[in-house]
Amino acid sequence: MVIDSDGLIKLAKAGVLEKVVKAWDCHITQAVYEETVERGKEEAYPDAEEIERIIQDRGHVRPPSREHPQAKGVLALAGAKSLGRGEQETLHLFFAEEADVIISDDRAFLAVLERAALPYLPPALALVELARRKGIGIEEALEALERMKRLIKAEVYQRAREDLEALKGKVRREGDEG
Amino acid sequence: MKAKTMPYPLRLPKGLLELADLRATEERVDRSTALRQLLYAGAEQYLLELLQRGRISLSKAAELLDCSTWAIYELAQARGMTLGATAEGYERAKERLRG
Repeated sequence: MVIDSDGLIKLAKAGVLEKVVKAWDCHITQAVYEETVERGKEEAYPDAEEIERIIQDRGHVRPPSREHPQAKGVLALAGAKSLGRGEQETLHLFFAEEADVIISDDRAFLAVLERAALPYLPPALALVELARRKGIGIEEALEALERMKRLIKAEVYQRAREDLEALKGKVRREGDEG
Repeated sequence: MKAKTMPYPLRLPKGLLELADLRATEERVDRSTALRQLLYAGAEQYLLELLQRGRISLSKAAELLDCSTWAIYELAQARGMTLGATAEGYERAKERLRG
């Protein structure tokens, strides 16, 4: 999967980026690295250093690329003017790596992905999926969702909470039956 | 990092110039700096509204204000704005995932 700046920030703030990177094969673009890690460090945002540690440990930063023909087609149809270098390179990388999904919570970017019928995961849903795949405990996921709460829309927080509670109930029932 | 600047000729209402002079006195800066500060404050607010409505992306907003993506989030939070997918977007992503 490919993660953009919005996805990185929310997963890092929720304290689950490391678990996401461990659970899935994750990549970020050079532009996303520059605008979030390098620029963030220049402006003394402590979470930028944490992202650098997690991402560089695993060497998942990809060099600049804006050459994938399918990405060019999507951007030409959906309109690239609303997107920055970070999202545009993320789209190119998605096609170049033949990735399964893009983690993003950026409305302008999600609108482009929707129009092109490309798969995406908002960070709150990524957290639910991580719990479903047992990459994180459900209680831990609920705590992470609380940390993400002030960064996401209240209605999305509510849906993710319901999904995690439903998963918790399912696991409990399976435990009782087993 | 210092943002690139370029000159731009502009006619301004007298009242706005008076306001800039007031700000210049209050903030102990020159009139041009006070005008730029007022313009920048309005630009920030407008840009955050575009971002919240999904008209521009986070990366584009950071490029336009020449700052990090963290700074954009901080500005949004300071104004009580939340940025991100809607419940419909969340549900559509879930359907596609299960699909």
